[in-house]
Amino acid sequence: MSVKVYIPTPFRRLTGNQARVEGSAGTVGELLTELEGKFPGIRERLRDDKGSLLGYINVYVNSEEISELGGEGTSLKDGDEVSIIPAVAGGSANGSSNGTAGSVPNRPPVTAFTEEQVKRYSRHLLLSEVGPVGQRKLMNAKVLLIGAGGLGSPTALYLAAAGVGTLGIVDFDVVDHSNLQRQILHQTEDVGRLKVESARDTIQAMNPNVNVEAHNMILDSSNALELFQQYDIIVNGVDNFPARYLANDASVMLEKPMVDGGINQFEGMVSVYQPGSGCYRCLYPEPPPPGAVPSCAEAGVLGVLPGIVGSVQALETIKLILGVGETLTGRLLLLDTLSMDFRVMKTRRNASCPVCGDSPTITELIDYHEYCGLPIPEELEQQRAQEQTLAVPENDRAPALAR
Amino acid sequence: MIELPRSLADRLIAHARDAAPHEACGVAGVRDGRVEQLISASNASTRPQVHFTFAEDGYLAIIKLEREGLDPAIYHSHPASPAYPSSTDRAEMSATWPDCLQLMISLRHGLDRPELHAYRIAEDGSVREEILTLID
Repeated sequence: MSVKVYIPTPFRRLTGNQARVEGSAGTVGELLTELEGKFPGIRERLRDDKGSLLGYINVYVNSEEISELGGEGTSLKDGDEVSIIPAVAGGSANGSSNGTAGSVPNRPPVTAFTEEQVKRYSRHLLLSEVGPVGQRKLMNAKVLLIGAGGLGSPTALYLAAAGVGTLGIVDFDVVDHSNLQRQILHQTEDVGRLKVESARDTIQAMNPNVNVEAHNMILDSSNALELFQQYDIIVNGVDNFPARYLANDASVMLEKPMVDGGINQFEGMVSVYQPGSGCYRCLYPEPPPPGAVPSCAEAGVLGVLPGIVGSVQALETIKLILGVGETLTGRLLLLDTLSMDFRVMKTRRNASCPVCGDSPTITELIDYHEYCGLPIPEELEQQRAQEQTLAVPENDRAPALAR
Repeated sequence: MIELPRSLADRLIAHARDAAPHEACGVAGVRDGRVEQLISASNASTRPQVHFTFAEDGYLAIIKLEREGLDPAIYHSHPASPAYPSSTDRAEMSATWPDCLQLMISLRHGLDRPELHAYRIAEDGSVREEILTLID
């Protein structure tokens, strides 16, 4: 019997750079043991000390995750494809910063567009799935982009081109020379500028009809809920696990649809989470231990990859606003751009999920850096200190030190 | 009740004849219950024999008439079916322009026996006929 095993990029150095290897075992568990025997080092990447599969590794037989089937006891038949898919941190910044129709209005008023808008959006007006009603929905929509980096750039550009009325952008960082390889919101002359300001200029030059709300800050438990509340849809373009879990939890708590995207070297993933359909924690209940999944800054990334993934995120956002087509709700799109394998896996809400399950145990935002076992970045420490100072009435603040 | 000058009725019918076998479409400007202006538009539908979609010029025409203080109405023709909103017309017009005056021309009895009717299609898709009176 022969089954194929898809090896994710981070593990390929252990399999002699092969993206696909063959196995002959009868169950998933036996197949993984077979792999561990053939390729030294794989076991440590797959299992913890007790021999259980790590929480941030998912295994699929064809398009179904094994926890929906028989776990490691899932039987295999000739020709099955088993895929090993670890979580990815996402994004593409220098590693330090983060930035159907849900609650979008159902019946937008059909008021006349300006002549400029008729000409600008004429290709949308011709589509029966958009038309004047759909275009008005886009113009009334408010979308928040977390991150103005590799993923946020193409997402912002395509949402702006489509005429999304309000784009909020969260990013703390400044444009760095190394960003220019992929963060297409920013030009060479923007190096050194705040990303949110560079982004605003690019977007408004493209489409002056768009209202850009620039949030120059680090997304944190103290500000996420108030920020997310102002928008209809959240688009996640973050580059680190603390921000990923924070954005997820805040979206679930506020019942905001989230369009999630992640990248790693040559691979990408996109999914859509809507109230009741599961969340990121259903897919990956735990973050990987620090250092287990390299960031883009550490491992590098093909510049055009976030362009593709971010564009898919923009497309899914537009479909949510318009209420057309089938979104990636309940599905996970996986892109391997070296082999051009684009696959869609099924996902499902976990009834025991601590955030979106039947009996949530996480009902408030937590300390996500602590949760992920990571130190708090200096910029976040400074932001938190500043927030504390501002929260204290002026008369009660400690006097400034003499310089 | 809507008053339609004969000269404009003639133009509606002429447009429908010229466009046949495709559906003709355009916009009318109405003030105080009387049609004052007509602006023809291009039918951008991929199935123009049975359906119409405004191209840019239709929307620009609506903007122009509104700017002149007129209420926009929509006109289109049915080359081979009755001068009554089809199920597609009802679905699309109820969503896009509910309660807008709809002028319809039918050529189903031949190019030389046109029919002209007016309706309003409500948001729920229901159709109410408007009495159309030809005036000089």
